[in-house]
Amino acid sequence: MLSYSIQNSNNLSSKLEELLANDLEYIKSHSNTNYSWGNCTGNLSSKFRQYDELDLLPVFSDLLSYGFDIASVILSTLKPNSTKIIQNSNYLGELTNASIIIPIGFNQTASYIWYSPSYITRDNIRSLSILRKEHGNKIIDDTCIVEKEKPLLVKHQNYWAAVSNQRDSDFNFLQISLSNNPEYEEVKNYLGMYSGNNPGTGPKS
Amino acid sequence: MDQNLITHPYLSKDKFGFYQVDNFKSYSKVEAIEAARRINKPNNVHWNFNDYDFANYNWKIEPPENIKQLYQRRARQIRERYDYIVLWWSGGADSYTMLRAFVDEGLFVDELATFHNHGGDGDWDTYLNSEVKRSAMPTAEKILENSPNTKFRLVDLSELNPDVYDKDDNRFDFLYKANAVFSPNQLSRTRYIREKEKDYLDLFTQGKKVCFVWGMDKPRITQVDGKYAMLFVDILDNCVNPETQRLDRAWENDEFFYWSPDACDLLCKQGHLVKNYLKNVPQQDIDAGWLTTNSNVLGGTKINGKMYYLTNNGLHRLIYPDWDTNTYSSGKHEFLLMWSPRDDWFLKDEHSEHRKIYTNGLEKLKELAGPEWTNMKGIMHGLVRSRSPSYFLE
Repeated sequence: MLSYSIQNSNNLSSKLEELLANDLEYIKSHSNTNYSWGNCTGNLSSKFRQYDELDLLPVFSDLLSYGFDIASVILSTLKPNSTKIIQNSNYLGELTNASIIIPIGFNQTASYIWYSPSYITRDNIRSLSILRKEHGNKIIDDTCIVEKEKPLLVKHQNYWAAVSNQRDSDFNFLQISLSNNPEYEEVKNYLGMYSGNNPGTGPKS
Repeated sequence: MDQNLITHPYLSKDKFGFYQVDNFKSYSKVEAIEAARRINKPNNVHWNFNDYDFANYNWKIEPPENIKQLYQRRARQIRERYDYIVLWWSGGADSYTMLRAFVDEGLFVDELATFHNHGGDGDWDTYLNSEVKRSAMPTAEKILENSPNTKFRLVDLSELNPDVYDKDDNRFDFLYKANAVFSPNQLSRTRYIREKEKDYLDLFTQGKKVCFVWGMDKPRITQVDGKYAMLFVDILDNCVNPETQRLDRAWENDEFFYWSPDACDLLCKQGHLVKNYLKNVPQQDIDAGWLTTNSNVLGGTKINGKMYYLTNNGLHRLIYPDWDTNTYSSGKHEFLLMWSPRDDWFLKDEHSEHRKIYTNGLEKLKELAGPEWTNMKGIMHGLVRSRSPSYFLE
């Protein structure tokens, strides 16, 4: 499965920890029954679409400068030893091609999980525990590590994926999707080109 | 519906926008956020800014008139509606162009009014006052030299502000009398001047149709799916307070010169001027101060793989042909919406009662707004701005 670790993110995780400290505190102390999957989530899309403030943030400012637009930003916090299902579809219900996972704060790692489209479909996610019992690890196609200060661009193959926190402390992260649903390769090429660690085909005019 | 509003829909206070949470309607953004949070849908606040009128206008067709003709047409429309018009005048590009439209069309302006706080600052060289002294006053005098009967009013905010939290339960609910600009001077500027100034009260008593005209605002241009579109953002309480909308007093009228459902041709023309420029930016403009790589919603375009956005001057040059981009400006202040330098004199005493009311109010606002609506840089930078739908120019 394809993912791309965005280098030279200039302490983005730490900057987000500072910027979102109050938000995380709020989310942890105010339960939202709309998101009752055991962990807390907040949709911060609007605040991350105030263009004139995103220049503060590495990666975000890069995305804007290449002409990408932020479609949604979801803030999540995972309790220790828990897994959170994440949705990879836009408001029209279409599969998004790629998203960016950004860990927030110090010493954070977790696993990103690709579910197999052969077993987990758009419609059967609510039966996940049954499917797991029935098919075991076959429901998982692949995993990779999400590390602090290494935002991860992920190519999607399924409407559902997951982030699993096997540590004994909370794992906080942002999940970003982009407007116009650009292809994984397109986003990777731009970010790779300008972060200097993985030259791609370069920007198109 | 009020018969008067059917005959004269421009009198409706809804035209200054309102917030909707399903079937609930409020002029207060804070009240709407509270309502949305109660049903566990904190993001489910829709800002309705003339949605119906704007959605039914064809933004894709560029009006054939030139932009000055459209400004002048708008000036005439306003002049013919009201008996006495007050132009709020900062001397900046928006209000300058508005005033020029009246003058060029040969229309009488009853009054130009400018805010300052010299009584509080005790100085004409502060953030607000320097712009008044160096730009607003001399420019007004020059433009109006042929209109000696136009009244030029200087309004000292420091005379209006001191008891702002002693009035009308403001100490408890001033958060519901702002949507973007929560600083104390906003309440004075948008509400109490018209309740305190004897000239206005006399005109109201005489039954005169008085209108306060605001230079709200320059266009916001975005790209959606590669196509240029216009949108609006909820910063309107800087001119019309939600309390003004709630009170709905027939004798208090306001007009936004630009952002009005009665000015669609003007707005559309502005949008096309910006779009046409951005689709074909001259090479020599790139490093000439008209464009920046700092993202904003004044309009952007990709050049050689990088996004460039219009600067304020870059935009003014396109849509305000008579504006001198070298005119003195104090610049935009980062805390303008919440803790404006205009309020420094009022808030500087950290032990004062009104400062405590204000800072406690902001703490309360942070709790009510929650993460979804608190600005990324914190509550001192205000609430997350709401946006209108995008109206496609192509």
